[in-house]
Amino acid sequence: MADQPILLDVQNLRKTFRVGRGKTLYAVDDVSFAIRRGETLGLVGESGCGKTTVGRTLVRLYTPDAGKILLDGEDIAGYTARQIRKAHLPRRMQMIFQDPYASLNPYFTVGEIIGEGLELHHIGKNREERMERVYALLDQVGLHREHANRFPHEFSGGQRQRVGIARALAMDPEFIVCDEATSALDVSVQAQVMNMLIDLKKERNLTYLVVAHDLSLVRFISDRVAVMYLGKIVEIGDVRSVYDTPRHPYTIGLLDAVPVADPDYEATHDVRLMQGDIGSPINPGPGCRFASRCPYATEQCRRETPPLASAGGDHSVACFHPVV
Amino acid sequence: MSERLLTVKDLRVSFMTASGEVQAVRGVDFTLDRGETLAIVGESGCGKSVTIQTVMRLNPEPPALIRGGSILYENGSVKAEITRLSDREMRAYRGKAFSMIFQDAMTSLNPTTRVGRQIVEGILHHENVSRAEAKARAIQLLGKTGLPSPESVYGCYPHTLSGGQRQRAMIALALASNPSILFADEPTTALDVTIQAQILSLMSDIQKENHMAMIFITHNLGVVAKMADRVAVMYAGQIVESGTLRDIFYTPRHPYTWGLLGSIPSLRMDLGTRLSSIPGTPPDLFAPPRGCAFAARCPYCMQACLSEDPGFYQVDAGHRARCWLLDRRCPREVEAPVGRDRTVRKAEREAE
Amino acid sequence: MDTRELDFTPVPESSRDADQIVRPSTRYWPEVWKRLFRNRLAVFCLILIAVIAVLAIVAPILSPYAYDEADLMASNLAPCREHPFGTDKTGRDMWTRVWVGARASLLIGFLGALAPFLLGTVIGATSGWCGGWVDMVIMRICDIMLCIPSMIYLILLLIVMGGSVQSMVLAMALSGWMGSARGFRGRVMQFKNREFTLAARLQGASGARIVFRHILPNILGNIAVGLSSAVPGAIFMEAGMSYIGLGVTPPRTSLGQLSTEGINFFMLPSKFHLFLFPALVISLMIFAFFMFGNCLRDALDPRLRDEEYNARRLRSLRRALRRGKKVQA
Repeated sequence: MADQPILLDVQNLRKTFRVGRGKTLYAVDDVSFAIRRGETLGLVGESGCGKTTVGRTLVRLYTPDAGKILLDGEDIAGYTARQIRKAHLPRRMQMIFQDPYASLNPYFTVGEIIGEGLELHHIGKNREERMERVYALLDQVGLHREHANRFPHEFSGGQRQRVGIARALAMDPEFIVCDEATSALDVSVQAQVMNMLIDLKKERNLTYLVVAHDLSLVRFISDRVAVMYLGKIVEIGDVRSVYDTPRHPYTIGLLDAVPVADPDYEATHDVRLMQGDIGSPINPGPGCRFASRCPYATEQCRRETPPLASAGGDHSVACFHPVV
Repeated sequence: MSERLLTVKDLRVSFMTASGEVQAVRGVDFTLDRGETLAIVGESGCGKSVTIQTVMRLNPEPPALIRGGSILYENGSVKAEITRLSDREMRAYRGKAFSMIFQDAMTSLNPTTRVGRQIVEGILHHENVSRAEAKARAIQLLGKTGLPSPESVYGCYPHTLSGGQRQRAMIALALASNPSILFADEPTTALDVTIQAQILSLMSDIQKENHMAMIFITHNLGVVAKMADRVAVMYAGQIVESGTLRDIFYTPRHPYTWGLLGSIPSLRMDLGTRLSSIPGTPPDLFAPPRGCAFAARCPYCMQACLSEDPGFYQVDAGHRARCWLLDRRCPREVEAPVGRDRTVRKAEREAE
Repeated sequence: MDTRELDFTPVPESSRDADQIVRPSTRYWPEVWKRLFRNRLAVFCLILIAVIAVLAIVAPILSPYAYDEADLMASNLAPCREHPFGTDKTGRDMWTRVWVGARASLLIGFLGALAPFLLGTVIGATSGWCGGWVDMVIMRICDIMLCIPSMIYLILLLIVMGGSVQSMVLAMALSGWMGSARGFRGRVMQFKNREFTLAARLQGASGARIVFRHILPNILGNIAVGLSSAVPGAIFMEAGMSYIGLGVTPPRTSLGQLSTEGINFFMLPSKFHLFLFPALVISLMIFAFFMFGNCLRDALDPRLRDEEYNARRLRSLRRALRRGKKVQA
């Protein structure tokens, strides 16, 4: 994978939201990473860590406050709506959404939902040709032709999510953001959708950014993984290296807290409970954002922000006192 | 000898909707002893929530309708057939006998009343104590749930608390009347893993301390492995397999349980392995299938599965499963794809 | 031990379909119509509206008298065979006049409800979708206009433009758009960040397409209810304006104007019909539109659907179950 060219290079991305007088929510704060063509980068973290904002900013649903998003070397961070249309970004980058109930318009048939992009971008000569493409897509996600005339509410959660996948695939994009694509689904269906995403990636040589809170899931699907905490990446690297030898105290606590479906393991395993609540990303002070919950925090951690520094090979960690 | 608190027999619950009758629960039996935790696992729509909401009689009737079965609650001298109680009689049992915590704390916390006051009301509703005494108890309860400063949380409105704190406040509220059975409906699903770990350890501590029985509803098998003593796996309104925690995780006997266990990605799984998924979608309980409900998605499906409902087979003491593969006459030898002991032996049909 | 013959041959996966949908296909609007037409009150109101509308269109055409044809020989007649609603003081046939008036009132009712709605919808959509300073400016204008009672512009506009159906409708549009603009802006903002709208944006849909193709159908229900309850308001407004002499100017007429004239004879039994018939028609119209709006709201609410469903059948089922009978589903 390392020999592939970089598809998406994100540099010092920042996205803030004003949430009231003098209050600014630093959803994404100085985040940098790169995704190579054909690679899957997992982005994990707890709620409010800004992982969804990263995903939405990359596909330009949001305009970043600062930083660059280089897509094949071209900075798309500052594109206006017109430039986005002109550069045909929708044909290059797509997204699969979290909530299979909210992400499909209840008044559109499944065929209309999947075919919307094709119609808007005049892909295919006529309606019939577009419909053929929609049928092919339905088939690819394991649904039937007849389902094209049904409405979303007639489908189960897993089936709807497959419709969402078909929509994302319709214009044959290179890059897809999967924003918690399976977190609203049942386990058996989740596996179905995950396997489908993996197969599609191989078939179509896709590049994924997988945003999720489920660590085991991210481990299963990703090549590399980035751990976020309150708007910052605290650790990033190869899946094997991050999961087997986590360096950041937060990553360690996070991995430790995941319950494992093995009674004997759970009977003997004592979770070292991470104290306290996740802090607030609104007007954060100086210093490491994890300092208040960190068992190893020192004065330095409360004063300065630790930079993301290499911890050997591809593995980087933002911590003054990385655990060995 | 353990003390039986709850016996549910052949419970059937339907919802009457404009497009027809949805048979949400189709003959569920289980028992619950004092001090034990039963986990009900299953996918959304399998009837697990409806089952416990029926035990607490929380479903508005109509559209819900208890079509049959019995729910017997026994506690010392108290003995009650829950299905026959009127709404007024039921009120005495909610809180005192059963209490419930939800996925979303705001379902049980009133947003316009201070947290402390809600707990005090709960205590006063069931016990004859003075207001000051109740307040002291409420603060003590809040402290017990691990809230950092119970006195200040006492005067807070629910929306000012964080998700984890709210969950703790709800647990305090649920414990206010000292229930003998606590129902937990996906109590940690909406929480982050680090907070989930805190809440789970709190719940098992409290259970041990109060010697409560608990029914835990979840779809997260990791949480089940951590919390449960016994497990019931539900599918399409029926329990398809039930047994001890180790029975279900190490010697599962139902193909649906196999599918469920095989489909969860684990932190300890080898990289690059494929998840075994269950194809398709659960049946629509608007028109439940004639034979085994899982047949359409089962990789071991046989003709008999499509036409006849298998009924329970007793695998071991306390371990039973609903599958034709366990029948003595079935010629197929199948090896379980998951679990430790993978040879599936034929089992006795349970006496009706 | 059961001894049934059982067939244990495996069934291949390909012959089973775990993804089929067994429930019959249901669509939203057909369901709404079905529910609406099952409601007797709604059907009654609809028929009432239809009858009034048909009479308003047809009656003046079929009538042998023109609405402004004075016949001093036949003035102040009580209802009789030639003049079912009697005649007024200049001998004009009240039957013709009432239905001509109903035309004007219906037109004002419909257009007076629709025009501010359309104007408000466009303004609200712009405001809600663009956000930022556009939203700021529009909403402040809206606030300012809401602070001054709309009656004042309405009166001013009518004085400037004179009384006719067109000027009435225009005046209503210019003075009444704020409410619907605010409402629509709120709904657009609410849907703007829904996942399906984001998905549409990612497919390359323009703002106008998202607002009118994606968001509008989702709030059409509320709009329909709002519209049908705005109709009686507009009819009422016209009557009120007529009362202070700013309505449709004579010899053209409207129900409001007719009732205003008639009200002078309210206490005179011999001329009571001059008040009775216009007032009756206007009341029926308002009643029908208002109740229809209510029924529509009920029909649009899917939660009510299941509750209303066969409550009686359910109760009998329950009774039977309590008696321990076996019940056929």
